[in-house]
Amino acid sequence: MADFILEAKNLEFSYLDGTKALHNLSIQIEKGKKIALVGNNGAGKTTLFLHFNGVHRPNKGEIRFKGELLTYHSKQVKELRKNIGIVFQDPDHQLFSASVYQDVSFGPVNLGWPEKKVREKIEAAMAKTGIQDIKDKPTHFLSHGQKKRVAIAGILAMEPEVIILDEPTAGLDPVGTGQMMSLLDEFNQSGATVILSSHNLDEVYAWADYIFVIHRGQIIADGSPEEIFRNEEVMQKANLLKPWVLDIYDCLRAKGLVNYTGKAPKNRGELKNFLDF
Amino acid sequence: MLYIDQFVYSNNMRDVHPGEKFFFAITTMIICLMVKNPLIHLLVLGITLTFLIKKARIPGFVVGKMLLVPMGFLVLGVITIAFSWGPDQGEFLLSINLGSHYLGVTGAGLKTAGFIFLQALSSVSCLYFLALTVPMIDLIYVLKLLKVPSLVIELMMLVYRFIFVFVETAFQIYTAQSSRWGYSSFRRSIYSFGVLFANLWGKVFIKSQALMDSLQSRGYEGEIRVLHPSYKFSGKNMLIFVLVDTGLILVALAIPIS
Repeated sequence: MADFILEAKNLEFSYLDGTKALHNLSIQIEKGKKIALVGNNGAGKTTLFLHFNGVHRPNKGEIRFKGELLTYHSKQVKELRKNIGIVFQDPDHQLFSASVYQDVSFGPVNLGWPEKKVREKIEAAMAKTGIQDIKDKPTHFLSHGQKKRVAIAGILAMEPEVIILDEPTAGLDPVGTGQMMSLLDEFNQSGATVILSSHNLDEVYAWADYIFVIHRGQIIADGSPEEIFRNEEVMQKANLLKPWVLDIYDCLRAKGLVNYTGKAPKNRGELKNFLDF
Repeated sequence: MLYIDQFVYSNNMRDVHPGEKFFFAITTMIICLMVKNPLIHLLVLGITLTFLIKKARIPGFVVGKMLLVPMGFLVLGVITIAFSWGPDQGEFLLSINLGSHYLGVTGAGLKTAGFIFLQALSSVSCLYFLALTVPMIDLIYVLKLLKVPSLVIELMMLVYRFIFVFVETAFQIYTAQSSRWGYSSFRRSIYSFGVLFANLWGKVFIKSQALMDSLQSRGYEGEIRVLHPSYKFSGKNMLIFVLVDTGLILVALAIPIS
């Protein structure tokens, strides 16, 4: 039996203006995995994330963290927010201070840790995200990619068990995207469950262990990257494009140019290896 | 303002404890305001400018340009003091006759005007020392040490941060509008500017809601509590600052007002 760290069952949620954001949504997140949530703009990704750490409360349905039902007692919500960190899509929404150091310190100080421990965690988080050399700069002089790193450091410093990132690669250049994905790999290797949403399906395909497809507030499919991206019905329904590496590989196989039936290549390099006839 | 910010964050006195710089600037300014001795004012002007240009390594032309900003107000204010009005032409150095009275400049008026000009300029230079060597975030830290209520501190933090976010947003809207001929005529300009403001308001509300969500998810419970980088007090700096200010006070006491 798999160890689920986060579970949601039959969630219903509407915004105050009547927009139905989540509709009978159920999802189970396995501990220690690299999870991706894919779907159109407005499919409900961000709304779901905000449910995971208790900022939004569902109209109906239940959420469990490590098997424990969320009852929204303030103490429980506090504990939940310590353990589940969210990095928001737009760093300008998250960075409230002009000082990098102050901003990173906000979360750990809220946890009530002693000052010495907080300072250590800040240093460690800044080292991991590589922002030590910009720590004395005001946030308004930072580039988008740097702001994103600061936002991530602010979450890392709280040492959450689950790190949720809302489109971490949006607005980053290819090199920045690559660095971001390997940073997320590092978090995962240090034991954290990493959940991200992304429109960059090539990256998602190469990175994720498990994928959920969300469409109009519902999870319409879940499975391994290969399963999901080969499922044409799901791809069409959710308006997703098959990652090019997988697409080309499947084409080559259909034409009989590749007769390997094991794991499909994950990225450009692996695909090229298949072409060394 | 955005322009000054670039020098503030990279000046060579950035590492000096903001409390030291704050107290030096404020004490020196109080000396300027209390002592009516032009020698002291010239000394203060010299000392602050030396600190700014030689120690903090802020380009001289930046400091010069900034000093020009209050000059307009100063000159206007001082002119009204220099001129006076009286029935006796003899007391004026220069005057014009306006019926029974004369309008002109007296020696005493000119002297007072000169003193006030120097006093104001030297006080402004103290404030510039503060503004150019202490970034806003450090200043907020000093205010916190001085036990300013946390509500004021939080507001200052958020306002300072979001000035830049909104200026940026406003410029983006402006660029988007002007690239579609939004400012092609006077009428269109008025209209576009109105739309810009209305949109900015909308964005403010969306951004503040998003900020609230993100603060909450990091454990916000009604108070923004943060740690500041650990600054170190330096005995050497404090000694220099104290010596300079004591020196100024001694000079002020020793030399009578001429």
